[in-house]
Amino acid sequence: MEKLFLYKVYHFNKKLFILFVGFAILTLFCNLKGFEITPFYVWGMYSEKETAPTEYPVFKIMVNDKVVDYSTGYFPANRFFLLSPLSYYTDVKTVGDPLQPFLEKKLKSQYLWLKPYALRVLNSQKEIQQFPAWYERYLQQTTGEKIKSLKVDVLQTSYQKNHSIKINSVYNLIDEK
Amino acid sequence: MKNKNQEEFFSEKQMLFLCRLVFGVILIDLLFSAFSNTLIHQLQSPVLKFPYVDPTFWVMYLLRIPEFVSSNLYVGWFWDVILFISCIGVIIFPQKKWLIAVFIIFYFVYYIIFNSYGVHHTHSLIPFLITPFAFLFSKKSFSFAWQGLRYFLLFSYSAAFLWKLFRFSWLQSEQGILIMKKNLTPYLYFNPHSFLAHIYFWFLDNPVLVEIFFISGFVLEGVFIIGFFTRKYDKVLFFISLLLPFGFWFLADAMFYEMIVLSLTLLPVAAIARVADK
Repeated sequence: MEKLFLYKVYHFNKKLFILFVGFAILTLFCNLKGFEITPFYVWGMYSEKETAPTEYPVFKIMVNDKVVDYSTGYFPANRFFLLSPLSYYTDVKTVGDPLQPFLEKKLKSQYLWLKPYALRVLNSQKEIQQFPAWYERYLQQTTGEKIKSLKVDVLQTSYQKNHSIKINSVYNLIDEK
Repeated sequence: MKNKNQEEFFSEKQMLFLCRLVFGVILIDLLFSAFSNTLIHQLQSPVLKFPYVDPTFWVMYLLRIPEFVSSNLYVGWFWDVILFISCIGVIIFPQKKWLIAVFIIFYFVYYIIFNSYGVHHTHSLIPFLITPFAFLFSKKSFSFAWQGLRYFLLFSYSAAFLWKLFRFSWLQSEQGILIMKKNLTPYLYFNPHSFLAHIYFWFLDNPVLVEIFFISGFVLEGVFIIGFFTRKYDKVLFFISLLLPFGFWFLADAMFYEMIVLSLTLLPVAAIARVADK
């Protein structure tokens, strides 16, 4: 018993003990419930079952008619900021912020209570429409190049038997001139 | 014979050494952020946010703090400069607790901005947000706080193991290959002839090896459970904690090198003392 970490903390300082136990309990609670409240983190780390998609989307970013190869030559955090918001934009562009239907479904009638606050937190149509202009500014910051034209296409790709990547279809996401 | 206190408690000098070491790593990461165009003033007033269902993010957005800091270039610059100054300040004056507190407050807002405007609640910045808290404690409490961080690290990897275990993803056919394809397709599309792409294509030709790689990572995460019961294998866990970020990078193109700061908590006091007391 004397060797236990929490036993030692308890005898050293009761307040510190309460802090540690409280943090541990809330972290365990959040993990059991499966929701994350910073700083009580859920460490999933690629634990969700992956299912084979029919296609893998690849963003083709064209700045001034030149392809930006974001997959090399950029720091991971830079790549994250180039791709993750873009990926989210493809989801919200036509249907709006998916968090709203998610909350309505989850909270049911209680959502009415939350609605005035939710509108301040969710992405509005105006913000969604501002995305291409922001993306252009951020790309300019990243590439250091004055952008005269920006085009982002989504290539729907799949792997062939020899593992080469084949483009099945293409659609345009952003076209700013 | 060693005094038991010397085995478990850090001296003032060792604590200050650890503080400098941790903030030194954070400073390097802040410099990486500058080269990555992800400091607040470089984000160009981002518009799409992702608070998800994390109440902490919601409170921050209801208070309009992330918008206020990220949408004004001067405020963004101010925030970044304070982040750098407080971090460098702690390295020079590690005993000044108020400097550490300032850094934590400013870094917390940076963390919220990075994760919400990056539109993914990545865990990579967490070690830099959590670890500085330990240095706010007094000398004797610090040793307990440092051990608390050790348990935080053990929990993070153990939880990753348990999530995989109970979600049965370790039994999912082609789990490793699918993770690899999901995250590396753009790289393989744009650079099919690079040396690294040849390695990936070779693994795609040998999918069993990718599954072995994934399962090995899963088992290695599970090994961290041992750390809750004994400190005898901490050196082994330290070594594994250095390997796992490499595995995440290779399989999922995800950088978790920040976790290495927490790995320091697996080093025995004697090992820290050998360097700090020189």
